[in-house]
Amino acid sequence: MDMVRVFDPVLIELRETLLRMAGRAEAILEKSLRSVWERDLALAAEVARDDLDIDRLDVEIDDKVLKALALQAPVAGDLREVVAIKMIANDLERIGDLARNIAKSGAHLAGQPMIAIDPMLALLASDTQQILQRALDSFSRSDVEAARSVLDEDDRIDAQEDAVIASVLREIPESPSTAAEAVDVILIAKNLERVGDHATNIAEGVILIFEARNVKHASKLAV
Amino acid sequence: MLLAPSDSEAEVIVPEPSTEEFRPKMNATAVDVYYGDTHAVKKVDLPILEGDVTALIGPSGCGKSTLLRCFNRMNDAIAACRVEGEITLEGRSIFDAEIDVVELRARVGMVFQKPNPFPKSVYDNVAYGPRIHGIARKGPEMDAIVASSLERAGLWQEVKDRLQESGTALSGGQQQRLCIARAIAVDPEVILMDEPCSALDPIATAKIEELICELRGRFAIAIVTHNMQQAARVSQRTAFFHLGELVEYGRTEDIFTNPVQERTRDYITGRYG
Repeated sequence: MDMVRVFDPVLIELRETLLRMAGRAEAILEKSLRSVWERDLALAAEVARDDLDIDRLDVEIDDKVLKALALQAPVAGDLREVVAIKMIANDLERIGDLARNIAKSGAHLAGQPMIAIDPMLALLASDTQQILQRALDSFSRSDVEAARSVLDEDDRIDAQEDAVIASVLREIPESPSTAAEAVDVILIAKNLERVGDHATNIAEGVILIFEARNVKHASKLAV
Repeated sequence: MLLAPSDSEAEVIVPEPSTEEFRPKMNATAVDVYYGDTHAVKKVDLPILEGDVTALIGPSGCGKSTLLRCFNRMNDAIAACRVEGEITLEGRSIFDAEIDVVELRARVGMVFQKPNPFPKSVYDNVAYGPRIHGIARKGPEMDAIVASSLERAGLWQEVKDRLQESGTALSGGQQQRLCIARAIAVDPEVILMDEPCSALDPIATAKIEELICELRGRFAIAIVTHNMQQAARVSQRTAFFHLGELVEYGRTEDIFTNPVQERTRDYITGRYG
């Protein structure tokens, strides 16, 4: 039956808005990290502005989801997708906030260009960006396997964060004058770890859509 | 939002400012309908907008179908029925002495609850209106009208090889689409639909809903429905009636996400009705 359902254009528009938001979230994370590596104050200021665009899309998705639920009463896979899109939008909005935190630390560090940044932070950053990208690709390509692989990465990100913090803490007694900058590096690591958590949530949303399984907190709740 | 934000006895409808998207094709003003001593519709103001679908919802006996039938003077045929107030089409009163009721019903077509094809061929069901209105008599001109009407009603592919079969031999959903094709064959400006899906199964209903969405824009459509989800899915404007009164009228998304009136809220959330 080649029927175009009344609901299809609604769902397509929701998906497209979410993908637009996803693109912005990846870009803002990239920009916030560049502001750190390049000690670029101007880039850090741009991040705050870019975050407002993400917030606007978040509000747009809220409106569209409310309207879709009220007017279309979706069921089954349609319902799961609408709910998951709302959940994923929350995560993307939070990633925008975390990028703004990273840029704030970047702005502090820009005032101290001679202080070296722990190289382990760069590794944590690139791995976090990669799993965020994989989580978002799993949504756009309807790829449940990719979503599942994101869930396996979270422990590694946590371990990398711990390693950055341990390394920075070791440095502080040796150069107490740079303790303030060390705190910023720790904060950046913490924010990246949180981005990783949101990437995990996004992947869980994708699994909810395609497998109708809620895998949130699965390991904790299984005990 | 067109209503004052209270559910008081005297509900005042505030006219919406004239905007690009608010173009009344028809307008009911202070319409009362009586069946003998029964006051079925009470001082109702309601626009039917150009290019939009307006849904009339409310519990049984609320006056919605009675009001719908006023828009093409179907109530004229009921002896005990008295209509007061004003209804205009393109600004002109449909009760004007110079208005020909047959012509009015060509401009304001109607689709009923139960599909009611004539006991004629599929072709003749659609050709009937254009023939009596002198739009076309026969030949290629009529063939083109029949084909394009069936096409627009989403039925052409299913009946193009069965044009000479009886309209009553089609399935219920096909018969209803045939009735829609018949209504649009005379190129109406307004289509009134009185619970057009209540006798149909879910698949046939989905097809009619899809068709309504496609016809929107070309016609002003008013639909009476008991199915609130149908009203939500297909309409841009919703009017909620209760005990003969128009309780609330507004954009469908406002009515279904944040109705102003308590009675509307209770009805659409299933608390009474």
